[in-house]
Amino acid sequence: MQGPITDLFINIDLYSALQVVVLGFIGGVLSGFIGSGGAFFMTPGMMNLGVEGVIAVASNITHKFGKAMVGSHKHGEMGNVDKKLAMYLLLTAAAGIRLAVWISSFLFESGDTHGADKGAGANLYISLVFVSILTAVALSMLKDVLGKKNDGGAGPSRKMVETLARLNLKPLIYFKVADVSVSLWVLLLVGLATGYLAGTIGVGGFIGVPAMIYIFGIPTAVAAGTELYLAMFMGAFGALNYAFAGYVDLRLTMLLYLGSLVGVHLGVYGVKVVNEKVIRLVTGVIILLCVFSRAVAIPVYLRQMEMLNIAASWDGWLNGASKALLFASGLAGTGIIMVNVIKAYRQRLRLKRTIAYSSQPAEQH
Amino acid sequence: MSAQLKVMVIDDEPIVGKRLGPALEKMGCQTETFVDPAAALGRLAECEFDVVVTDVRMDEVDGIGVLERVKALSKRTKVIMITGYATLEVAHEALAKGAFDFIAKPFKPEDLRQAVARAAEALGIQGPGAAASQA
Amino acid sequence: MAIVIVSSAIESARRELAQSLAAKLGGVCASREQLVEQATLAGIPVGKLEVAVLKQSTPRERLARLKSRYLSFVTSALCDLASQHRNLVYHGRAGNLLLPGVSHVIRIRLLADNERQLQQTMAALNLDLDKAKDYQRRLKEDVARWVHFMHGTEVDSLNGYDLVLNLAHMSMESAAAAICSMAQLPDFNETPASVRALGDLCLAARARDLLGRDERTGDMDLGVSAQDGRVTVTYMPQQADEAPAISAVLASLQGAREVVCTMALTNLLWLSESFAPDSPDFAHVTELAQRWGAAVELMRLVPQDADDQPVCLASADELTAAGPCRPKEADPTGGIEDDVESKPSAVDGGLAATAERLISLGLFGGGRTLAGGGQEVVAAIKSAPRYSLVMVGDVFMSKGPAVRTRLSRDLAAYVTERITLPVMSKEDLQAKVVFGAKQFSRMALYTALVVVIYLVVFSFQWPIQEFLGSPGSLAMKVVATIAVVSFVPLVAYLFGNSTGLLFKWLRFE
Repeated sequence: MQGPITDLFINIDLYSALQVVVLGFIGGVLSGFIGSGGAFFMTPGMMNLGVEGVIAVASNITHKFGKAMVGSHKHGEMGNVDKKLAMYLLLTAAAGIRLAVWISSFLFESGDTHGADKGAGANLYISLVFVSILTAVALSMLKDVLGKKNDGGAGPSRKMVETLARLNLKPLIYFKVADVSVSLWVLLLVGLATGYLAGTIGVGGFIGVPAMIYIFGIPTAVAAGTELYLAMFMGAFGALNYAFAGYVDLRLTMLLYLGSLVGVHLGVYGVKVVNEKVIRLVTGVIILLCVFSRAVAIPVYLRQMEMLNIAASWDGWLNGASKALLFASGLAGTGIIMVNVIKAYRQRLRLKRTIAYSSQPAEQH
Repeated sequence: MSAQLKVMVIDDEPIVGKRLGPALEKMGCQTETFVDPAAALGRLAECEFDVVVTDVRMDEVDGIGVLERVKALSKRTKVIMITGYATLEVAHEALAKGAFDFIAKPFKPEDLRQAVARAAEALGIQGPGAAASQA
Repeated sequence: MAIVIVSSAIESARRELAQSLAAKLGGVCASREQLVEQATLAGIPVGKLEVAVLKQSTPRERLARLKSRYLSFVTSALCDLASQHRNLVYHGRAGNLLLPGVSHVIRIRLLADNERQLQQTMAALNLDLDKAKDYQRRLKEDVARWVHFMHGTEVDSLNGYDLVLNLAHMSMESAAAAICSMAQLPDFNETPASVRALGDLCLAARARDLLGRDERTGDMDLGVSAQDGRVTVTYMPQQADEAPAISAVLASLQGAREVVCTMALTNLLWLSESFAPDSPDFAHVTELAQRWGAAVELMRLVPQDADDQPVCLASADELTAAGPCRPKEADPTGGIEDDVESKPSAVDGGLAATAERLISLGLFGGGRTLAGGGQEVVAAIKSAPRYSLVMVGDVFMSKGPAVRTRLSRDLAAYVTERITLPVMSKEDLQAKVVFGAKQFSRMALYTALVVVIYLVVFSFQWPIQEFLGSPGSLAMKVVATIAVVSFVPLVAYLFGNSTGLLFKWLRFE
């Protein structure tokens, strides 16, 4: 039966199914490891296969909802989820998202009369925010990792945390699992900013995780776990909306699971066995590649707004490069993570084997 | 009360008295040492001591004998037994007969000083002993 | 040849029985009291052990080495007697535990007649009734504690006995006769196996005794065992310099076919905030150490700002009240030692007690307290690179469970990364049965459910998508929404469990 449905949902053959599974796997590894980052990779990836944008987003967010449930549960068992912190952030972030949506739609509406390029102003604004914020985040992360000697304690820089602690802005709220006290005002500000950025550029986790690490002074693993917990609620909200609108492609969601739930285990295992420095190195590199990906798209928007004089034929090339960089970032990140995971896994396996079959008992008394 | 604590040390090995005498005087006790338990008992009859430190195994009169004699002469005198041949049986016998403490050799003078200080405290003497125990 | 061991808390009762029995059997009678006397003369201050039990305040852990010396002395003295005389009757407290596993030893538990004992005590010690009762009660309690301290079992445990005799119901004479006829039973005859067992026991005890007596090896805490006349002495890596002395000391050991001196190959570093010799962790660690022939070094990790002062037990020296003992005659101090600055014994989180148990197992490789975290641990490990495994136990106990789990893991990761040593968590040690049949069947079940769901959905993909994508009424939309948001987590849950178990099976944990 081929009706109007086929206009909305693509026909899936074995080859495209496998591609979706691989996308899911990479997204799963990244999100298990970093606590976010699945969406930025999987959504464009599915669109490449010919899936409608809205369907890709809807299927992805539905998938994210279920996966975040499983992932945050795993993280929770390992003591990496601070539910109290997540609730504070959820509420403030919701307000931030409202703000972001309001600003974006204002720019979109007022995007003057140029018809076809109506959204370019909003796109440019979003891209600029994306590039500047994430560059700052990625660079500070990498600087933190690379600037340190091996022995000097691998903990993230605590400069910002200590400065804030000195200000001692009351009231302070204590978070038991993360084992930190954070000023309510800082919390509100960060939540709002995270929500705003999430609403603007659609990748809240990229902001939320570093913010938790560098501003609240929360251990990286807890930041990732808490972010995943947050994502569960946000995903649930998105899934409800899109499902109601009828945009969810259940098949895509399920295919994504086939890859991502395998990947997320490896990602979480990675957080456990890979050291904190590598975690942050990988995160920084991925973010930076994402930034490049978005940056090469900026000239397109500038041209569309007639602020830059380049040939329209370049659009295709620039968009292609943008997409390629995006995939490169996902693949590179997953590659680094997998290498580290496999290395650690083999090391531990060898250790366990030694313990299990070591030489025969020596009589001691 | 600043009266000096009067301590008698009885051990048939001369070296013990030689080492313990000064050790106890260091904490401000007035100490007399005896190698011969019979002589010691004679002295006990003349003069009341606050604390008697006695070896258990001695030839003429053993430590238990000294203990019984001391307790018969003066109920308030505290007796501390020291011995290299401590057994639970002997120790409990001594304690049943009113010994204040029981210390196994080899020991450090500080161990004895602490026991003496406790004895002084039990006697209600706030003085050299108490001060020494805190030093 | 018969060896009869009579155990009783009441010395006079067991002495009387043993003497009458020895006369009947035509053998020699020995008592714990005699052996204690000999041991004291040989320079083992056994009295310290007794008084330690008497004054329960004394930290008994500090007497571990003394205890082991006493036990090897008594065992080897018993062996000497047994080899010199055709029949041997020994009596003592819990003597039944002295020659374990030798089938031609008859172990008798003697229950004294309380009333008679009381009379005897009153007469012998010149005490009135109340004091005599008191004396007996206290002595009994202390003997029970002594047995527990020396042998780690309860005095009332009847496991180690062949026969219990109650003197309230039979005369001493009949008791002796009963044991005499029991000694004739074939069950208590010597067998080649029992002779060999006794021989090995004696050999190990003699070796231990010799090593304990000698100045050069007296404070080395060695693991000594004997099998078929072959003596194996295990020493710790940090004792390698003094190890040649072991062979020198054991050159005078009689009856050994061979003396093998081996170094405990490696050290396991056990990092924890608190230790307990009764914990499952302890059992796991010692089991591993024994399998590896390794020594266990304890490192107590306390938070930097903790109140208790770091206590450093650089070696076992401070755990034992008596160092290597010299014969009493040569003792110029008359038993009065020099004063030594004693450190206040801070709360040590079970370090001393655990060290004591390790010493008695011959596995002790040192112990210390360290304040700080990963950095300090790494520095400490680097300063003495002789470990082959680091085991992270209970650390960061003051934190909540979630934080503790994470911090422990972080510590392990931090250490792993900086030293080229395997680091294990306690979970690694405990995870013996990682994947059983139960987990397999669960995995199969989840996987089967997932396969069925996927088959169904992809077989009916178009009807399903049509239902989800173009529902008509509002009610239909709501139904579709609910279906999606409840079905998707279900799939995630089932498949997540299935993959989770798969990774568990693959030991990706």
